[in-house]
Amino acid sequence: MINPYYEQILILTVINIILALSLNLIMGYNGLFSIAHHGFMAIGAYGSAVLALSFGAPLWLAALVGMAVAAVIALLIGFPVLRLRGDYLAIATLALGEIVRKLWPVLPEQYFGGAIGLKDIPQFQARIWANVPVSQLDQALSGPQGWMIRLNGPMNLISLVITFVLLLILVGMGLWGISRWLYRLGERTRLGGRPLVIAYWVVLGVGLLVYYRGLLGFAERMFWFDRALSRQAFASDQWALFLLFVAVLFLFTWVVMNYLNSLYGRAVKAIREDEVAAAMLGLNTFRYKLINFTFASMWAGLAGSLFAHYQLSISPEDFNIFKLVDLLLMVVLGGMGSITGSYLGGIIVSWMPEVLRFLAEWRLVVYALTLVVLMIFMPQGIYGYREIRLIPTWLRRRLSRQGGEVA
Amino acid sequence: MTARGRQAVGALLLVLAMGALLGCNPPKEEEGGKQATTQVAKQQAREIVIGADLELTGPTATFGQSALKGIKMAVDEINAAGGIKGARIKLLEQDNKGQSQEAVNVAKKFAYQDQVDILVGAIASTLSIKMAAVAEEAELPMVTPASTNPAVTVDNEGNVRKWVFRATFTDDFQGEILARFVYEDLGAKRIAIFYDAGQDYSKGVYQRVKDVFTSLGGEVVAEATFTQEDIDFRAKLTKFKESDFDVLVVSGYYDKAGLILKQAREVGLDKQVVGPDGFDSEELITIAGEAANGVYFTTHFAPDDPDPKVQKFVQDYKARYGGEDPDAIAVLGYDAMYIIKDALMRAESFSRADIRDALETVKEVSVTTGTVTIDQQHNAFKPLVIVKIVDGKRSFFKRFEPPREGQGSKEETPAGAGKEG
Repeated sequence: MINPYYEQILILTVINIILALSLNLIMGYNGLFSIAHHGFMAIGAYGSAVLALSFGAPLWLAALVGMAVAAVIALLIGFPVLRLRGDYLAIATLALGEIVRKLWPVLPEQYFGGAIGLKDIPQFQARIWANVPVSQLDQALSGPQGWMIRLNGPMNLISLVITFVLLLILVGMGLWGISRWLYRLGERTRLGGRPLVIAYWVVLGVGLLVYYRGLLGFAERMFWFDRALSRQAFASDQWALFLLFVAVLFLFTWVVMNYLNSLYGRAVKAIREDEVAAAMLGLNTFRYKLINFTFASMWAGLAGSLFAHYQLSISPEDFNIFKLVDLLLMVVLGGMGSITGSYLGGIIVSWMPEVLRFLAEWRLVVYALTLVVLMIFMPQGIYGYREIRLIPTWLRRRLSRQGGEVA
Repeated sequence: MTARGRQAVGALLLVLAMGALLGCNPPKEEEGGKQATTQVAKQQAREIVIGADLELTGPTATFGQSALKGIKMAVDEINAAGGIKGARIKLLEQDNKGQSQEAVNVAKKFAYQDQVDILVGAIASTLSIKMAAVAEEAELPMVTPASTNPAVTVDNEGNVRKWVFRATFTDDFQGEILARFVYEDLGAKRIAIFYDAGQDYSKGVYQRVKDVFTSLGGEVVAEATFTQEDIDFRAKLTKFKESDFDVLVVSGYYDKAGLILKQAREVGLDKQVVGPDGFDSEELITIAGEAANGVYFTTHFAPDDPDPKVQKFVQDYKARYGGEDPDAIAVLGYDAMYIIKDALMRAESFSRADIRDALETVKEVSVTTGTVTIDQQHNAFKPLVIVKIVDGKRSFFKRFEPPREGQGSKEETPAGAGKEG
């Protein structure tokens, strides 16, 4: 069974990645400094929570409506706002985010909960196979659904492995990116690329050994291995919720990858490079900006809705300027115009403050210092305008040899 | 050669620096983690772990810091006096930056990672509401020292949250006492109310004052609202002058109240002003100046209360924290620990369920701010203090013992009140 504390951070990571990637569509891929993203997240969260709480809508419907509401509002707002450029756009969108935050306490309290917000929001129930209380486990095993429950144990184990592999890939991505950057830094200075990278890995290894007593120690903290608990894991879908969130994330990533390679995505990137040139080529730049803005805001709405139904209570202050700072941090730190970068940004911003908790009051100082250092040495972010290649280049060449040039 | 040597030295330095950074801290964390994993070991070591999830940084950091000072002082005192049946209290503290997301993260960390016995926090009601959901899910007793919003201890249907307790009174209770004070002590029959429509705190107090005052036989002759962005209240205050009333109730925080007091003087509105505990700040007097004199407000405690227990607390606090005056939040944090202590002393075991049961039956425990009973709504039933501003100083006016027959709405009676007769 996963430790709910880690589950919390993992799920927040997923939500943050969705937010980072959708904001990256506007900032990184379209080059617009629009900072109303937390507002659209709030609209999605409130839309979905109000629908579920006051009207008893099923959650999938509530989430879809939350997305739709965010998209419609983005469309309406984008119409005047996206005609602005540069600083003016930033100011207008900043104001927009603030207006949204100030809106909730004014709306009817029986639906929107006033300044204190909404609580006891229904939770996503992810159920793949079966979910029975431990006390009724033996009874249920002999019942008609017994085979489902028997499947649960192995399926939970498989889910655990999937989760762990996912984590390794995500963390590996970050480590790989930093190594590459260190190598280049070493080559440029007199330290030498290879020693620097080796030193980095040694430090990391030693750190891991000392801090967590090895990878297993970390796993032990994160996952509870206990007879009573494993019995519970056997009975219920402990992993389903997290896997559901991951599925949504991957679906979203796939949609974004295709979107970026579509006519719309390419138009959006052309506008980033040179709006006048794009217009000269006959692109209706305003139209593409509006579509992109609406598309990105819709996903922010989804992230908000996931947040509301996982956190179970929301208040206007959840979507204040600090949330915006977190969002900007994820995009800028991870890397503008990069899917990999958005993943990394989401992971770093979600995990780093928690990992640094042992530093007590020095936590925020160290966190801020790390960010400053990263920004000084990596002004484009860790993966700015680059992507990681999941398939190594040589393999990709060989595979596409029949197909000709690699795109 | 030299280049290579430099490489090696550089790499070595880097390793050492990062090793030192990573290496120096784990023992602390390890201690918490290990002790968490083995409940049995903890019982043998006789240690009760309390996790404090507070706003130690961020916009409301002063509240969290004050509360933590009070809590630490109480924990040290309890441990010095022999602990709980021989068991020491161990305090873990974590910062939530005043952000609800962090508050939930910390609550989950305490509940599952550190496996604390009691969760304490937060100060702001919005944070406490989110933590309450975690406490319910994890079946972990939670005590909030100073969140006064009624919604903290109840769910959407109005049912009491099983695991969540409050070591102070609610805004409803405060509003009721304020109304009684105005009606009975100040002898006012007609009042006007000025409140912030955008704040639950302000609105809650307003609603309660209005309800109780009218039920006592008084009359609310005028009411008006302001917002957090307002800085000029003159037009609305001038409007108040048209109606005839005895007392103006201003339901809001000190920043707005200070301006209102000052501007009321300017427009010639010379009525008695009263307010809730949002007035309790030195800033109120700084902003309002002369106009603050004569104002009454309800609060948790006054440093110049002649009560010997209060005086002892103030002296100890000053001695411990270098002459610093304690504020209301500090004393609430301090008292919360003594309420928890009382529960722990009576708990059958130190399991979460037994601690919860004991917290529910806290009855007439004598703490700094008076005698506390936890009622059926899991709120503390305790006296209030009325403070009057005299010559630019907040001075103790009277202690307001709550009416025995009922706190809050009529149907809820405090636990044990019936048996008292």
